[in-house]
Amino acid sequence: MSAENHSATLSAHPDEFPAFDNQDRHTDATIEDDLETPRASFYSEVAEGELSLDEDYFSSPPPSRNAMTTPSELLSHKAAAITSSNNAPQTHSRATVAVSLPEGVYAQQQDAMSGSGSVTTAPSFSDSMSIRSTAPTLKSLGDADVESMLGEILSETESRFCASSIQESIEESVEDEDTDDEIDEEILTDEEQLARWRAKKKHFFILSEAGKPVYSRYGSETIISSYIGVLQAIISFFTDTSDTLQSFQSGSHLFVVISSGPLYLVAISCTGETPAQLRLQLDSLYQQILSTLTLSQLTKAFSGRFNFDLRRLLGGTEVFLDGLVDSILRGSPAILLSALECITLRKTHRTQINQLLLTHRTSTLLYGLIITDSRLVSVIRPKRHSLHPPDLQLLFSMLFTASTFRDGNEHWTPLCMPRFNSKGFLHAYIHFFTADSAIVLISADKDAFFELREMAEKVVAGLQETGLRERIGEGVKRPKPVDIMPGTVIRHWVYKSRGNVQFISSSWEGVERKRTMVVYQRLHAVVHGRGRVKVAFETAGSGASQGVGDGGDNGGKRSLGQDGMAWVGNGWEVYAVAKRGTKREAMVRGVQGIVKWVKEREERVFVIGGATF
Amino acid sequence: MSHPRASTQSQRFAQFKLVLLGESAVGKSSLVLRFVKDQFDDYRESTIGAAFLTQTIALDETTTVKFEIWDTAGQERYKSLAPMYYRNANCAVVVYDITQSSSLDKAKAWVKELQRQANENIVIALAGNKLDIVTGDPSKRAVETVEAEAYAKEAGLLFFETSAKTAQNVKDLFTAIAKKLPLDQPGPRGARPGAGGRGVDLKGGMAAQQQGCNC
Ligand SMILES: Nc1nc2c(ncn2[C@@H]2O[C@H](COP(=O)(O)OP(=O)(O)OP(=O)(O)O)[C@@H](O)[C@H]2O)c(=O)[nH]1
Ligand SMILES: [Mg+2]
Repeated sequence: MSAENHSATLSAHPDEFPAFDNQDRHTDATIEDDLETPRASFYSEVAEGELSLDEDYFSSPPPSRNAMTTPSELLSHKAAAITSSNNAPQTHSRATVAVSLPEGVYAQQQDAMSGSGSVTTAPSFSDSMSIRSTAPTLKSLGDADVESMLGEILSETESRFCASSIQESIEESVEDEDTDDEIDEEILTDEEQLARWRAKKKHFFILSEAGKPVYSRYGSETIISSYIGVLQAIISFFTDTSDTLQSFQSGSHLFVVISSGPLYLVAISCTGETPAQLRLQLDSLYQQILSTLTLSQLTKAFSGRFNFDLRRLLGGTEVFLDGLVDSILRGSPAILLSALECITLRKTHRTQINQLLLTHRTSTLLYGLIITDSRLVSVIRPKRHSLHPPDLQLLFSMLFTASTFRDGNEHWTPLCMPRFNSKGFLHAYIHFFTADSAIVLISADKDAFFELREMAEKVVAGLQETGLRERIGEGVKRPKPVDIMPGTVIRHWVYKSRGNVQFISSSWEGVERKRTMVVYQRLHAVVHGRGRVKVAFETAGSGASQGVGDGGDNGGKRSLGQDGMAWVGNGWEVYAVAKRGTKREAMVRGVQGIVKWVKEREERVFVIGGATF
Repeated sequence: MSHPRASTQSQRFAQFKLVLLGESAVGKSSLVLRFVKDQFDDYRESTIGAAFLTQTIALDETTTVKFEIWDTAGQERYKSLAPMYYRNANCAVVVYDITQSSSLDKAKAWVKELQRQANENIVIALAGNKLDIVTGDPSKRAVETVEAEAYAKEAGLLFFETSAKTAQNVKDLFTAIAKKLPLDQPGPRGARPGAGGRGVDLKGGMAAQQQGCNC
């Protein structure tokens, strides 16, 4: 079969997918040849022009045979993060936007920022407080918390830009984004449709280098195609001048572009996120496409067919992209924080569940997971292979945002986990054994269905018999802030453990999710911004997120009705909101309480390491 | 592989592997859902990979047939995965949509492929689905019954026009298949065991052997 052709894409981004280039595929080659031989003749019958990407489903190197001779510590979660940070656009890339466009688009230059820390002083409101007074955080890449690098590198590039990208209409923009989709678009006139489309606060587009539409969350083909054309023209202008367009502002709209493989992904937003935050969102869409196709197929689809219509190959997966976009619009701490959420379980229960999976493990199993309500319950994995949180995040999103897998049936599907290996498929057995809980067993062997099925049956029966199924059900409940700190001013909080790449959130009940997420977004931008401040406040009154001591050049934002605080410690970060006008001291005390509470039960609220075999 | 077992006295039990093939959106999953759960969804998401379901039917007082069903995805990108679902199948339902003539062409291609590549005694049924639509509005019909029927006869297929929505002919379709399958003959029939090491097949149902390529 034809040789793979990655060079076109990879040369444009030499640093983009570095992690798995060193695979030794020799072992696989022999085995696959057997498989390929009869198929080769068979598929030569494929009609002219018909697309056949067959071989890739088979040629995915079985990961257990990959010579991933990485030192064992690289296979921990931190390795995942190293991969992530390698994927980050280079900090020294420049984007100079100087093009005259309608609606007063203005030029914006972004250039490299070294991590020059701005002075960060200790919060001064209470002497009893243990918030660390933070020295400028000039970290070398080597010893930095690698997990957060992606965010930090991106923030560095963008921080200057960030200050000016704050727009004025946050207030409206966080309202009723999801209520207005109810009307059947078909009964509207073209103009009405266009008006509704333009009124969306945020758009995501995916297009090919040739300007062919690949995906858009909203709008009919006719509406989007002209926009896609304009976008393509702008982007290719910069490509032609070997510059990279990253983002630009037009009025209150921020445009962010990433170029990934043969695709451009574009976000247009007036919801006040930073380019770095939007870029993470776009990347999650790109990863979703990779999980359907693999990078090899994606690249191949366009090689020699510049004009290829990728929608042909993505058929049926729009629901997953829609699901991702909708959860982004709703406010996704998982994407903002690049972390996973787990359910709370006593350590003994979690161990028992791990044990069940380990006991019934079959020889071809790579990863075994129990997932409930988009959250991780338990995971087992080989010692030699880490599980990359972004891969799991994708999987969770596919399972829970679409109804495809949630029908109680058993499913067997090829699935690429791009951080694990963007070039090949794994095969996943997926079964929802309750309305909200799924068992997912992943193997590199496409013929493993029946043995995994048997394993799943035993595990599910075991969960039932031991009452662990009920424990899982109970663990789904998120605590309210007052449950853990009676009388606290905190209304909602999220805590991220960087080392575990996981977060825990308090209950969303009675919380205005979108507005709260916007507060977190702003705080996140500040603590991950240039100043690397360790403590930041968002004050509803002034409508400004302020890093303590950074002077907070954030004027112009409207209030979100809540005060917020972020605190970054050693290996963790916490974000919280309280009623507007809350005394900072009370808020700080609340946040300290959260940190203490989480630290006392880390083994319950986080899956630490997972069980290995 | 089927496992017809002569159980107590005259009770007969047989198990068959069935695969559904056909273009995306013709209604494969809907037919299976109707057959297995007697339900229908107006809105169904396209199948990703394949779904595995089972259904047991009583052919008569003494005969029970269990189907192990692979509901495959019709999307183009999964084409290459089809052999691993039909390779061991005893029977196949190839579905087209009677309101889309191109879907019959796809169905014919599947039949051809099955006849060439699958188990040589495979029982194939051709199902023209969405009959309810043309019942309501005959102008929606794009494939004439006689035309499809003639093709089915020539190719040696069972033929039904079905509606997953109204359940019309769905049970009949599966029953006809069960009846055509040989019930008495013990052991795997017509399989090409190992077929000269041309790849690993999905291992047999219940008793998955611990063998094959382990890595
Ligand atoms: N009116 C009518 N609609 C049907 C019938 N069967 C299926 N549909 C509809 O056709 C659409 C596609 O049906 P599916 O069962 O998902 O089609 P599929 O063949 O499984 O498609 P893939 O999984 O993509 O291969 C759904 O919206 C169904 O509701 C039918 O008998 N009558
Ligand atoms: Mg289907």
